[in-house]
Amino acid sequence: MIATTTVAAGLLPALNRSAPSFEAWSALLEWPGLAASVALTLRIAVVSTAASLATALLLTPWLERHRRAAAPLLLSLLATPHAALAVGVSALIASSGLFTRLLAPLAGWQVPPDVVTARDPLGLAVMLALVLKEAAFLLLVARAALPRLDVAGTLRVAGSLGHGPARAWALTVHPQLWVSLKLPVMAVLAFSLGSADVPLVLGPLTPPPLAVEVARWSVDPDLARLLPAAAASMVLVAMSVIGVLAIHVAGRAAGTAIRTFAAAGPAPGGNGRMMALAVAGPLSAIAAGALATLPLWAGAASWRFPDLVPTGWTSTLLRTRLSGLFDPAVATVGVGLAATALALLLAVVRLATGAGASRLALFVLLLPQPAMLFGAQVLLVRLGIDGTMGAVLMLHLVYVLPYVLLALAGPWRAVDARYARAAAALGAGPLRTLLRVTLPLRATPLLAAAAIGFSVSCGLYLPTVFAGGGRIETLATRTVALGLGADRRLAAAAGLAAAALPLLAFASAWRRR
Amino acid sequence: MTLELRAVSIALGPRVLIPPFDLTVAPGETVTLMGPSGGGKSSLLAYLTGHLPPALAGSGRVSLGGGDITARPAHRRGLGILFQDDLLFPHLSVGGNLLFGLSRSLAGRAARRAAVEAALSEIELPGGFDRDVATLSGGQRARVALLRAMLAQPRALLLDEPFGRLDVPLRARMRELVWRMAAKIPVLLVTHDVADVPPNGFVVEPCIT
Repeated sequence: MIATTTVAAGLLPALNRSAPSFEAWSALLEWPGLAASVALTLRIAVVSTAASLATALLLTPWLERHRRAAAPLLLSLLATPHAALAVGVSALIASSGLFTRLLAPLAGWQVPPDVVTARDPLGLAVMLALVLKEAAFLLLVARAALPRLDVAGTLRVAGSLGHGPARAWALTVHPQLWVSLKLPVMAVLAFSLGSADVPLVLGPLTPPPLAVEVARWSVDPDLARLLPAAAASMVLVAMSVIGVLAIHVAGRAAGTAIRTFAAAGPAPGGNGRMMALAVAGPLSAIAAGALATLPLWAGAASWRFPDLVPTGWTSTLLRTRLSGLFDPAVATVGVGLAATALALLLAVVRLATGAGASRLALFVLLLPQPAMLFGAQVLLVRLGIDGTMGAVLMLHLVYVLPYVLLALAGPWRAVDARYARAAAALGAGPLRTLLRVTLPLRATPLLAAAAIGFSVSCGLYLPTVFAGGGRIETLATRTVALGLGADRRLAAAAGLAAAALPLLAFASAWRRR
Repeated sequence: MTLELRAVSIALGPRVLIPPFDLTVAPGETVTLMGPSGGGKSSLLAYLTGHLPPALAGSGRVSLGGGDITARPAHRRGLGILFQDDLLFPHLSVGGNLLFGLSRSLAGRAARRAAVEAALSEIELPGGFDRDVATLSGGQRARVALLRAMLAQPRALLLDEPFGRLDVPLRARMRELVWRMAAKIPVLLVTHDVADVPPNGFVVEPCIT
């Protein structure tokens, strides 16, 4: 962040700028797309975050009743990288997508209709993909937090006092849940502000959201572009700071409103199931459809409009297209495994010594990615390691560590610390206690944290672009690159491969839990 | 081997939970610590085993058999402990739990297993070596936890309300077992129930502040 701020202040020795100036800001203000880009960025971030939170809160009661049934779709959504899901959503909602094909017999369409669905100027397609991913993330956070609350007991008490089910949830459980959801919601906002992979596949590009433009300027051969990139990064930071404060204030206001409603006394009311179904039904269908279209497109010889199924789908074609992704797949697995192992090691050392989740590590989640990555890139260039696997690994670790810490901190604390005391009283030293008691007792959350860390790494797009400098390609960067192109079959193959690796990690963690 | 506490005290910030006090527990003797909830009794045991939480401050000298163990690592103090919750390791079988603390001086897998199986008969759990601890009843769990502590050959035993979760008949049986198995070492017992005090034991109340 210091490096980003320095360049935004006009200091860039590589261009002989050694005195502070407003040059970065002037260059940014000269960009004609600035106002539209800022408005688009804000719209996408605010709507995605609000809709993700609303969806998560609305579906939490349903999740509590159907924990096991909900797990496969939720975990699949969490495991699937943003870029891969964006390719799947595009294959559904594009004018030649599955939705228009379903309507074609009724509407009499023989060619794709002339409607803008993907890459719409309002960014609705981007919001849809982000809501699918981020609502799943918030629901999984809620899923982890709910067992720590006595939900059944709380609802029984509220019900016995005359509150209807939906009202009881809103007035008694959701306020407790907010404690666990607040930081993740802030992280969702920061992520939505800094997301570039989803907008590159689904968003408008003239102008694009600010994060996309920052990424373009940052890798531009013309070094002078670094100046507006730094200024734009600071704009993203400002938006994130304001957004985080707004979430904090909104949370307090909601708390006041809830206390007012609660003070008004009990009232009956519905159980909210119809509304939950009305939200969960379409979103689940879109999510399942988006994931299911990837293998269909990836193995299709052709898929002409308005056919509902591809022509000449063969596993040979699928294998051929996937085999073309061998090098980025190896890079993805290598970086993912190394970043996850290091993050687990750091997290275990931190938690085993009695410390909580590192605030510095979690702070990373509240910064829009381009803002920190821009500065990180400047540092990597100065260290002479940009474009190397080590640089990619370092930046992946920065983003994997907070998620691993978040996944592990709660379950770590939930295990009774007296087990370690009992082990010591039986003569076990610190290392034996760690290896024989502390870690085995937490095997399930450790596996889950490893799966989460690996899936985060597999999905990282911008950190790979910034650190890899175009020389290192992972499945996420290949998916975005192909998603920008015209051949949906290749993009789907890359998306499928990008989704398959973290899905395998989640499946094995789930099986051994 | 006598357990001695000299000027031992526990404080929570400026509030003294247990003012400095001396205590000597001879082998075969049981001293019961009683006092109000939140008075620092369990914290005192945590200080003795070297696990006092950072929020609390402890001071004073702890010695066992004349040797100062105050600064020794927790696992080298020779103090066994039993909690109200049995804290059997859920990822290990009954046998695995017992082998965990069994002295390494007994070498050889077969010999160690034989020793544990013989000990299991003593607590009326013959053939229970391979049982999952989740399948044990409350009384069986308590007996396995006691046996695990005793197989580690502690030089003194600390009991932190170990009978609190057992029903009345089980409590009586468990008490008998504890006094029998720990008959030759010093025992320091924390409890709220005067019925837990053994016939030859005596009570101190260091926690009234």
